[in-house]
Parts: sequence; structure tokens; C-alpha cells
Amino acid sequence: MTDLRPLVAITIAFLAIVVVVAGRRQPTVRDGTPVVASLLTVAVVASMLPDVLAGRTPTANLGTLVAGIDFSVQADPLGMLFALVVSCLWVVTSVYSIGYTRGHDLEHRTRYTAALCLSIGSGLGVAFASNLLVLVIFYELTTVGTYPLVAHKGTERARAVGYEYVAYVIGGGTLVVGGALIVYTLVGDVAFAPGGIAGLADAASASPGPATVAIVALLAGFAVKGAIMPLHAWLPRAMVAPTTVSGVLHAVVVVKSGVFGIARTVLEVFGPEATAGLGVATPLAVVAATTILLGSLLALRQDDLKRRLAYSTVAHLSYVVLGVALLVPAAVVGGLLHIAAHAVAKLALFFCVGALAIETDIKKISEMAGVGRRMPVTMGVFAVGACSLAGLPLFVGFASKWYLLLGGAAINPIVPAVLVVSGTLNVAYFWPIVSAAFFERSADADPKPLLEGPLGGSPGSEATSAGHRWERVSPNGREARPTLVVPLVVLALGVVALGIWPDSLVILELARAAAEASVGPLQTTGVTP
Amino acid sequence: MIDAIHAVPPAVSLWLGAAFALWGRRAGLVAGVAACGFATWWALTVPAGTGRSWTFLEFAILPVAVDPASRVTGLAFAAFGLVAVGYLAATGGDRRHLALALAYAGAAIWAVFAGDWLGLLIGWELMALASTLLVWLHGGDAVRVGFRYALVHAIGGGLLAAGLALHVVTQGFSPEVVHFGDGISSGLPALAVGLGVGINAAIIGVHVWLPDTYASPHVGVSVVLSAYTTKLAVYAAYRAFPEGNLTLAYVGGVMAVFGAGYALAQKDARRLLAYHIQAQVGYILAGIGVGSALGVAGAFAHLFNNVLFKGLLFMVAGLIILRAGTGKLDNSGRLGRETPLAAGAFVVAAASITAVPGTNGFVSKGMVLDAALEGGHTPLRWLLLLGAVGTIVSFCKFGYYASRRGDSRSLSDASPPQAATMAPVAIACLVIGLWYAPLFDLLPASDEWSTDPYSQRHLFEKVALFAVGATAFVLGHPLLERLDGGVDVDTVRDPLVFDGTRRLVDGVAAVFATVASTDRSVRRRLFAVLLDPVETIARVLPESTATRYRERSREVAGTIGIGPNRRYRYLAVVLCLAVALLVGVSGR
Repeated sequence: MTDLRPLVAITIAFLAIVVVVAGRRQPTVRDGTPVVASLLTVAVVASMLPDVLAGRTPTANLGTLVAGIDFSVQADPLGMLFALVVSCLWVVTSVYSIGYTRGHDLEHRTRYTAALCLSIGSGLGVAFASNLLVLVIFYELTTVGTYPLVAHKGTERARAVGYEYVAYVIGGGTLVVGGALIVYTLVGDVAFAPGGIAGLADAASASPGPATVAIVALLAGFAVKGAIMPLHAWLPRAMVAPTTVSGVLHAVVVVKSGVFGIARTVLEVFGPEATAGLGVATPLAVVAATTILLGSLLALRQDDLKRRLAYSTVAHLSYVVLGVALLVPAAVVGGLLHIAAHAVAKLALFFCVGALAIETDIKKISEMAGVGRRMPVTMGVFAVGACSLAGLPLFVGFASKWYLLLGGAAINPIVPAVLVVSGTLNVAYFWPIVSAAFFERSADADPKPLLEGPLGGSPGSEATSAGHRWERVSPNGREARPTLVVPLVVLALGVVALGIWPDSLVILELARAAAEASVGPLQTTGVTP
Repeated sequence: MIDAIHAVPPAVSLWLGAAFALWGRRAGLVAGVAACGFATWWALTVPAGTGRSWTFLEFAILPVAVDPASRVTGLAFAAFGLVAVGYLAATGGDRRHLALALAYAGAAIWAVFAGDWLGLLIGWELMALASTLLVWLHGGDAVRVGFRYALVHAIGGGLLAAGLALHVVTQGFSPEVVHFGDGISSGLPALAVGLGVGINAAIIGVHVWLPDTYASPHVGVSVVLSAYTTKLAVYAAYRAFPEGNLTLAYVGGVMAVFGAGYALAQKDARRLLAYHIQAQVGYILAGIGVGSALGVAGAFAHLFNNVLFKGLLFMVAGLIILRAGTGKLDNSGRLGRETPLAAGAFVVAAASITAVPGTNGFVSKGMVLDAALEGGHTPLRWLLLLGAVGTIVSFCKFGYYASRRGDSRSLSDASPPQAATMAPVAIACLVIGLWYAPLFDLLPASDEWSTDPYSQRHLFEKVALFAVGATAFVLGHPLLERLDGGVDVDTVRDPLVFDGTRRLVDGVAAVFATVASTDRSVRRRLFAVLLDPVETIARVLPESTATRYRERSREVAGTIGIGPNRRYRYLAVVLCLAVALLVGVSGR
């Protein structure tokens, strides 16, 4: 039974490209089309929610593409989760984009908007792909869409970074194609099936060599976009792109499609048993844990705001991979939930940084003292996003962290230990930003801990604590413009709402359904494998 | 069971109060007092039992669960919140201070009345967030202090969450597994939870945040902070180990001595009091650790009383700081006849903490000491007695400096609003000390234990302790004069963590940089092979051949050397045609 809605969801974005290019002379059409298109996409995606939650899978099959593999797109729980994240965040991004492009007086806006639509559309294609080949096609299309955005500024450096980015990602994509080819030769099918493609587990045990090569190739290929160490180096350098791009693509769509690919590979191509049987699960988990720790450590010494957020992204993406690699129901739920949790919070952080850059031209943490008094809403949203990433309860980050803790505790106590250390490191590199913005004055601000400052701060910044009357300076007004602030506030509200009511807002249900389909339910088999 | 109005967690009223406080200082004061008053009434009148359960992350959490332990703690929190909010407003706290203080107290009360670990964890982390902001509000030096505080509490909260996860896994998954039940499963879960709780309770090794933080912010904030975090930690310790845990008891005993000892070395009023918090928390942990009915009851009685007299002490210290501009005891002016209210409050509070008969501290400390005696834990009892002596010496010192030594100017007395917040607490300390039956009725398992605080043995013991303490002070006070703060764990911890992390991060970055540059040079060499094969080959040839090779490669074909001229070319064409003809003809 063909249900065209997944396909429609994808094509809306592609149609939007046409409209944007056609209407490039009218700013309203050019800037307003993504807003309309994103709202339509959310509507279509949301309309499939009841079906997906009831266990049906709307599928649109367009016939054979090549050698017995169909071009089909489907909405299953895992794909639905990712698609919901992408489409909802697209709405917020399209509004923010308007404010950002006008605030920065960005050039080549048509190219920018069209490339953004292409990237989002391809991201949705990755989400809804029902076999490895379609996923790879849309995966590479994402690269095509994001290259003009990374190299947007056109400067020598931007182009060099863009070239490097493409080199990394195309290399990854090639590995994925290679892996998919080997899978096809092993079982003759590359369509995703919850719990693994039928027959692949047997083929893997019969010929472990090719199967190991296939899974390593697939995982490594997806790991490039998923910024797993040591393949992560492109991400901090890609921060040269405009902030909207950095945010929506390099915190939401592009990197998430990488870890999404890893989730698909482990859960629905090879399946948990085959992955564990090939001995790939533990090394993957170890690499993910190392990335979490090292990414957070590297974030500590970055003065540039976007680079700090980039390293934080590297660390948090590996939360997803760690969850998936542990192959326990609770951990998988936590990892998949983190796709959504991290996306919303990180996007809010990147958008705050963008608003800051536009209104105050501040790009470094050492310049940030006192900015919270001028832009309290922006920095307030930053604080909310930071709390979520640190895993404080009543913010959405706690939900995913809790499930990861549960799953990790079932496997090995070292996993909760890694998560505790990572949570502390998150506090260590986010809290100084919040405290500098709200509670310091530029006159006596200090380089933050671990930046180029001595232990204990420099002498001039100390004030006697006893009896020190804190001068209250009234706000200077000039908060960021509405098109920037409203998306920020919406994201912050989303973070808090998902944190307080995770059970009733649909993301947790989707994550659980996806985990249950592949790894088994939480309750009956317990959290122990 | 619990009816409608009692089904709403009292924390909600405090959080609503916090929202109101954002309007302005007066609104905050009114809202705070109303909210805390409601919470106090609620704690007194709510029937024991549990309310409805809510689902959070698939676990059944109980926002309202009342038993004697939570009632006593909640009552202490709510009642003290009343005076703390008043003191904060009376000493210059603005609407942000009030809002955050109410949010903090609200989170504490949420955590106390939660009937399950997940609800407690939520309150725990929210408290850490609110208290960090409260410390930061002071600005200046307090920003770095608040950062260290936040880091320590992030570790504590993380360990608590990890321990909880380990406990859930050990017990097996079910929605009710997070309910308090019989405590935390032993082994790794108990260790993790114990450490996480212990960080908040300032057990030795991880206690430095206490003097560090409580001496830094606004004076009213110190009062607020002193009442909640550490007391919630010991409440959580009781929930984790309801049958007691001897290790915990001895940790508490050592804390009692350590805290009192370090307090002796302090010259700053708030740091001294912060170390005493640790000592008193040690008493409470000892009571919980002993695990007998008397021990637990004594611990909770001491918790209740501690909230009162510790808060009062911080209020007095706050007054001194506000009037004299500094908390340093040797130059902060005098409390004496000109300041009857402040001096009176100080005397009552000091008497309570040193457990002078007639005060509430005497009643509850006696219970804990008796529990140690009954359980046969003699070393523990000696540790606690030693701690008591140290407390006595320390407060002799405080009183001596505050009333005699130091600056000859005298301070002005407490203003009426400030006195209005301090007087009820002082009166309560005395009243509870003499009329302790209502408190005893509230304590856990009140039918399984009984004690007579004013028995001859207790009084005799107390006189002996005071004699020892007073003598020790008189003899030791020249030595105490020379001590200024002592050396605590943070002299090692801070440089270690700071430099260590910096070096670690630089090391990692250097490794990645090396890898990246190697990768780049490898790529460059690969591309060189593709883009300029001539140069690559020339590099491996011997020198003379290489030069000739390069020369040859630069030559354009056909411009030098031999090339056929036109005649030869025609000849070549003719030759080719002839050959082709021959081949074609002979191929037949």
C-alpha cells in the first residue's frame, strides 16, 4: 500500500528550492518560502504520527531503482523521530534565518536559501529512506547542499574549509557505498528491517571477514559526518560558515544524519546480534566514550564561542553512538532520544551565538562580560540550553541522560562514570559563559577558568565579598530583534516542555518504539541484555 | 489519605512565590512569607501517607509522601524559610535574591516531600542550580567561588543519578523501583549514592566547598544556604540507609571532630560557622549511621534544631559583617551592652550549638550521644564528645573576639526588621529546649524510644564537657590567636585540578594537531605525485640523471633534436601505404 506522505514531505523542500530561485527578485518570496514550506512539511510529517505510533509504516515505493533495490521512502519510528526533529527545527530556522540574513546583510541570499532548502530536504530524505541505497543518495545530496553554505563567505579560508569538508564527507560517503555493496553481495537486500536484515546475521557468521569489512566501512563512513574521533576535525573548522548554517546543519541535520546512519546500521541493517557477534559493538562504544571525554576536554580551552559549541557537539553526538552501541533497550532509547534533545538545545545555543554576533559583534567568551544585562532573553535561552546539555532535570537533556545511565549501568559501571564526568565537563565549559554574561562587568572581567588566566583569577578582578554592594546597572535595552528572539524563546520553551512532560510529548514514545522494534522492550526483558 | 489541598506539593506555593518575587522586593517579601507560612501549615496538618503518583520517564514518582522523617525536615525547612526570607529582605536583598531564595527553598521542600528517588534527584539538581545563581548574584569574587561550587555539585548530582541507575538495574526494572523502600542496594549503588549525598553533606575530602561558598555571597544568602543543602543531604542519607550504616556513623564522627578542629583555626566568622555546619552534620550522620530508633530520632531532632540555631548564628554573623564591613573576627567591632539584641541572639545560638542545658541543642545532642552509647559504639561516642569539646572551645573563641577583642568601636544593634526575624528563632531555640515534648511527637518511631534529656547523667556529662572546653580555651587561646584559616584540601585540589586539566587539554590538542599536520603532509605528498610526477621521479633518481631528466622534461617535443623534415615525412607516409597495400593484398 502506497502512502505518498513521506515522499511529499521530502519534495516540499525540493519544490521550495524552485520557488526560491524563481522568486529571487522578491525578498518576500525568497525569504518567506522556507517558512511556508517548513510549516507544510511539519504538517505532513505530523499527520503520519498516529499511523507510526500505532505500528503502521506509511511507505511510498516508486519502483525499482537498480538491481532489485527499490526507491522507496517510509515513515518508521526511527525515521519519524529524525524527521520530526528536522522539520520542526526547520520552522524555527527559517524564521531565524530571515533575521540573521538581514542583520548580517548577507550576500548571495538566494544561493544561501536554496542550499538550505536542499540540505533540509536531503536530511528528510535520509530520515525517510527505507534502504541503504536511498539513504546514501540523500546523504550525498546533503553534502551537495551544504558545500555552498560552508564556503558561503567566498573567502580563501572559507573555500579551503569547504574543500576539506567535502573531501572528508565524500570519503565517508564512498566508504558507506562500499559497505552497502558488500552487504548486498552477502544477502542480496539492503532494505532496513528492525532487528537486522533477514539472513545477514547468518551470512555474517558464515563469512565473518567480508561482514566485518562491511560493517566497519559503514560505521566509519557514517562516523565522518557523525564527527566521531579521529574523524571529527572538519567540524570545528566548518564553523567558518554563517551561524545559521553551523547551527541547523552542523548541529542538527548533517551531523545527526551521520549518527542516524550509525543507528540504522547497527539496529536495522546488521541488527544487535550480528553487531555483537562481529565484535564491533564494544570497540564502537569505547570510541564513542573516548570521543565524549576528549570532545568535552577540548571544548574547555576554546575562546571562540562557535568552536566551543562545535567541540561540544562532537562530544554529544557520541552520546547517541554510545547509546546505540551498548545494544541494551534503555541505552538505545537514551541514544535516540538524545538525537532530539541535543538538536533542540544545541540549535538554541548556536542561535544565541548568532544573535550575539549580530547585535554586539561579540564572538569570543573573553569579550562577553556583562552582555547578559543588555540581552537578557538571549543569554537566558543560552542558560536554558546549557542546563539541558548538562543533563539537569526538568530539561530535556536529563531524559536522554537518565536512559543512558540506566542502560550503561546494566553493562558496565564505567559507562555511568563517563556520563558523570561528561556532565561535569559540560558544566565546566558552559557555566563560565553564563556567569560572565550575567554576573560580571567588563571592567573587572577575568579570562575564564582554563583560558589564558592564572589560577584564582587576576588580582584586579577581586572584590571584597563581605559587605560588597553589588551595583545594579539597569538593562541597556537593545535586545536582539524579534525575528531572532522569538525562535530562541520557542526553542527554550521546547527544551523545558520536553523536559517536564517527556512521557506525553511524542519524542520519547517514538524512541521507545524504535528501540523496542530492534532490541526488545524495556519492561519485559528488563534493562539487562 | 490525603485530600485535595494537601495533595498539592507545598513546593508549588514556594515556586509561585518566587515568580511573584520577580515583581519587586516588597511583593517578594509578602509572597515569600505567605508561601512559607502555607508550607509550614501544610507540614503540620497533612496526614501521613502518600499522594497520587505521576509518571515521569516511565517511572512512578510520588510528589507527596509524608512520614515523620519528611514531616520534621519539611517543617524545619518551611518554618525557617519564613525568617530567612525576612532576613534576606531586611539586609538588602533585592527581588532577584528573594526569587532565587524562594526557588531554592521550594526545590528543597519538593525534594523532602518526594516519596521516591527520582523526585528527590529533581529537587536536588534544581537546588544546586538555584544556589549557584544565588552565590553568583553577589558578583566579584563570588563568581569564581560559585563556579567551583557548581562543579562540585554537578559531580555530586551526577554520582547520585549514577548510583540511582545502578540501584534500578540491580533491583530490576519496574515503575515503582524508584520508591524509597528499604534503601539503596548495597555495593556499588550504595557507594555511588553515598558519595553523591556525601558531597552535599560535606564529608571530609569533598567538604571544601562549604567554607569556600558560605563565606562568599550576600549575608542573607548565607543564611538561606545554611539551612537547606546540607540538611537535605542528611535526609537523603537516611533514605539511602534507613537501617543505618556503621561506616556512615564513623564518617560522621570524624566530621564532628574535623569540622570543630578546623573551625578553631578560622578568623572569618562565616568560615568558622561553615566548618561548624560540617561538625553538626557529622552528628546527624552519626545518629543516622547508628541506625537505632533513638539514633534516627536524635538525628532528626538535631537536624531540626540545627536549622534553627545555625541559621541564627549566620544571621548574627551577617549583622556583624554588615555593620563592620568585614567578617574577620579580630577587627570587626564589638557585640556587647550597646547591642543587646544581637548579643542576646548570639548567646542563645552559641548556647544551643554548644548544647547548654535549656536549649534545643542540648536535647538533641544528648539523644545522639545516647544512641552511640546504647549501641556500644564507644569510639564513635568519644569522637562525638571530642567534637563537642571542640565546639565549645570554638564558640568561646567567637564570643571572646566578638565581645572583647578587636576593634574598639562598637557596632550598632539590629534594626527592627532584622530583630523581628532573629527573635522568633532565638525564642524557639529556648522553648524547644525546655518544652521538647511536641518535637518528640513529630520524630520518627516515637514509640520505639524514650529519653530524658535532663537526667542527672546528662547534666553531669555536660558540666564536665564545659569544664574541659573552657579550660582548653583559656590554655590554648594564645595558639588560636596565631592561626588564620589553616590549610585545607583546596590548597592541593585547586592547583591540581586547574593545572592538571589545562595540561591534559593541551596535551590532547597537541596530539590532535600532530596527527592533523602529519595527515596534511601525507596528503600533500600524495597530491604531489599526482600533480607533478616529474618532480617526484626526479627526487628518487641519482643527482646527475636527475638534472638531465629535468632538462629533458622541460623540453617541448619537436623544437630541438631530431625531427623529420618534409621529405622524410612523405617517405614515411608512402612506406606505410605500401606496407598496408602489401598486407591487404597478401591477406587474401
